Amino acid sequence: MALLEIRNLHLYMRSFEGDAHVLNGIDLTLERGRIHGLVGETGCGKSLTGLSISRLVPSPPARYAAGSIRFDGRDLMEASEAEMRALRGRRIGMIFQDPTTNLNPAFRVGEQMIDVALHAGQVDSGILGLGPDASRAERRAAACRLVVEMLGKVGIRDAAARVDDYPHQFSGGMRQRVLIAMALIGRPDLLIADEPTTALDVTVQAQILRLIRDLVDEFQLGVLLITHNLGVVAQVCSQVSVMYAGSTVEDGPTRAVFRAPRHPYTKALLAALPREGLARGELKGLAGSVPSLLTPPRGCRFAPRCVHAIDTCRERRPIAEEIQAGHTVACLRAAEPVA
Amino acid sequence: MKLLAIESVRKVYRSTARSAEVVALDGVSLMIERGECFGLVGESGSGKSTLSRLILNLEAPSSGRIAYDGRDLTSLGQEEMRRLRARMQIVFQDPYASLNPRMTVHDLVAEPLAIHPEAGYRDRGRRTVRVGELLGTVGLKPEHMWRYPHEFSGGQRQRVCIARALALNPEFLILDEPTSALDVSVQAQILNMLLELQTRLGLTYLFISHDLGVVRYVAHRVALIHNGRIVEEGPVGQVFSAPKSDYARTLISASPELALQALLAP
Amino acid sequence: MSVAPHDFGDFPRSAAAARFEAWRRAFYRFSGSRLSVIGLGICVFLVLVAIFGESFVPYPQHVTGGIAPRARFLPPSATHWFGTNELGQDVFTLVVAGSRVSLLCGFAVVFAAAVVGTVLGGIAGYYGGWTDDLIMRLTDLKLTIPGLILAMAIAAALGPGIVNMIIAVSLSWWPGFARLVRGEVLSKKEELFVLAARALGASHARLIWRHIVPNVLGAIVIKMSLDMGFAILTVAALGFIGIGVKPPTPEWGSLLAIARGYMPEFWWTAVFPGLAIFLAVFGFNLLGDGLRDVLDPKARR
Repeated sequence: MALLEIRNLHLYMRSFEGDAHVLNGIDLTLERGRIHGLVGETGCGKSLTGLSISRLVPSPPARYAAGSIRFDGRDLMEASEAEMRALRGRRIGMIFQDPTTNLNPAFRVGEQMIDVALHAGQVDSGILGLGPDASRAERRAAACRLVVEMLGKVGIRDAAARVDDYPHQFSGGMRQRVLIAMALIGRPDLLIADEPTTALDVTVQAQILRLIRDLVDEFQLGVLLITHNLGVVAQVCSQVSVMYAGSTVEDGPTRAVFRAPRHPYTKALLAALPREGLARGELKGLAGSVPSLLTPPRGCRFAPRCVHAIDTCRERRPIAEEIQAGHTVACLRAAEPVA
Repeated sequence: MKLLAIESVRKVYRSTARSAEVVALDGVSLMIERGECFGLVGESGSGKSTLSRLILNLEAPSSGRIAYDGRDLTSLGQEEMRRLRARMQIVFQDPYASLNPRMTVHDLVAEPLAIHPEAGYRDRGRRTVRVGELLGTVGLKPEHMWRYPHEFSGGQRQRVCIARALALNPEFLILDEPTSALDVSVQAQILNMLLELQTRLGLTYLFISHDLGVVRYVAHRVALIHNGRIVEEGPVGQVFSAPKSDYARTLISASPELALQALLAP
Repeated sequence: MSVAPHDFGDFPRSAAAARFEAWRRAFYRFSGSRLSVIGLGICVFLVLVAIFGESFVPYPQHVTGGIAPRARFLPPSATHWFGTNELGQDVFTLVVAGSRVSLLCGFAVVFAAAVVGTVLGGIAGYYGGWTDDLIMRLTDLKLTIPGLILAMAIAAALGPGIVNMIIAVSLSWWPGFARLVRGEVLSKKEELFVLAARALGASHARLIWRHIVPNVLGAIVIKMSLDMGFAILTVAALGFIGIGVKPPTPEWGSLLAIARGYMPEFWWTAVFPGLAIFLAVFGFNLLGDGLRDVLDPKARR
């Protein structure tokens, strides 16, 4: 059984201008021990997909029209808020882009992490390694030990001393490590990382990505890595899903998807990247702009910008089909010989 | 022929709270030739933004010399500097923050013309015509001019910034991470446009970026800056294929863009 | 190179049309919040009452001090909606007529304070250095003395009268604006678009008037609206303790002060002026919050 299975997820967002159909049939399967990249451009719905998994999209304005999100077999769309609260920060961890805004500047880092550890311990006393009748002091001491251990795991040197530091005493990269450690305290099965390295420098980014990969190997967790950077996907993800205007258009092993893309959007995206041996001025931009999700095209959402589009594309929404083992494409013309 | 000569420039900031000195630039020397695209690669805090401020003479170097077209910037009077500003322009990374939200696109693009009456656009009507032309140059429609920046996407705003930078027919543009905030498909459009403009208008570029893939695509020569020092400099192909410094090797191995290119390579 | 045209629908054709369009959108955003619209409604209603109310009051002779000793302390009824006071004057008439003085004083105070505060705060923020230190220490000094006490002292020194009271209250009011404007100017000065304009060679005048001031104006207008209620309250408080507006000129604060002696039997003499003050404070605060949603650039994309 897959760790996470999203099927045909549809989400509408209410706004002044009307109802925007922001997620239009998301399909995604994530296995344990894998880093799965979710890539797409601004406004394609990749962050909303991540937030939907932990049910953190406020509703209203959000309205889920259809679909299921199965986490370890349980459909989260049917879970109660209490059930979700028990999952968040425990079995589902999250880290976000900006490490500064996700730590409270007024409290010591260790203090904030101990809170998380105590909360996780309430849900599952095994995390602190204590029985159900442990005293407050025992639990606190255990939480503190766990926090130091986790900070050490994410590569923070001299962790026992640094728990007393405030967030501003850490650099950007170190803060992101702290947040990763915090997300790992509850021993999650699934880690949702939304642009975790976008605010960081290239060399620090490489360290954080390596750290995430090592942690995946050690704990066998599944990671959904949400990013706009195809390069980051190439560096750490074994699987990738490409999103366009609220739909997953292509999905498969990173190597297969990037080396032999079958969806015209994936092709265009890769062609838009500068690559070796390309003379100046030879780069291919993608003409047109993303459609308005208030009045999306009736058929394939990429059809208005697609050079291969035929009349059927404008009428019928393509369904994802497996063209090779594990490589699916949502394009009506994917089965035809490559143009 | 060299357009910009930076000679052993040092810049020290003194924070008033403590007497500690921060050395932002330490013995930086660079030459930029007329008509080339010179890439400058560095991470945050490396000193690349300080360098662009010094070139624009928004701040003065603590020591060393910056000469533009043979003339030392520090020796220029106020009026001479104002005139020189018309010849060099800058496009910033963040097209959201670099446009005044309370001005229309027309007023934003016309602003350089208003500041420099010697350019020959004293008359408002002529300015408006010029704004229309400039918007056309950067792939926007003249009708866009009476809109406010927040009504545009990131890529369109960056086009507005470029139109504004081109208003006075400059010869030198500092492009400070011009596509870092943009999506890949938009980045390609903007990069192509910048390259096309460079050829058509005979511009010289200083292209600052942390994206090695982009730098390799646009730049002729490249310098890597780290902790306020230039650690490596040379033709793009050479620096990327046979880096000499440790820092260059670290940067190249860490670069996601290059990792992707390696994956895509046949 | 070809660039795809971007579809925007209809375009404004001129600067005036662009400005109109911006206002229309701003109002659209403003009207999205029901409370803001209620606030605007209350404020418009109060202003209309202040301007035209006096022509429609049932007992205009009471506005100028006329009394009716036979009709003292009548409870609210069809002939006297808000009842009558200790002089037999119609409370409804007095409350309506009092709105003019109260609102006018409130507005005058806030406006004067905003002008003084903006100029001083702007200078402090833009030029920094010793001018900044000087002006800010001056505001510190002002802020250490409770505003009402300071206003009372100044009013007492200047002597009674509406104009003197306005001067007194504004003098105690401007430091708030000065601090706000200084902070705003300091942060706007560091904005990238200001740096961009400097790189173009823009003069100080252009930086201030085209780039900084228009971006600070929103915050000033918001504070003016939020302060308006408190200014009315302060004017009323001064009226209440007998400084400022003198009877027979009707003003909400002094109406309340006189009525205090007749509570609780003749509650209507106090409750209706009190409600009027409450309504004004409430309305201008809602309006200010609504304006913040529209004008504060941080609150929108």
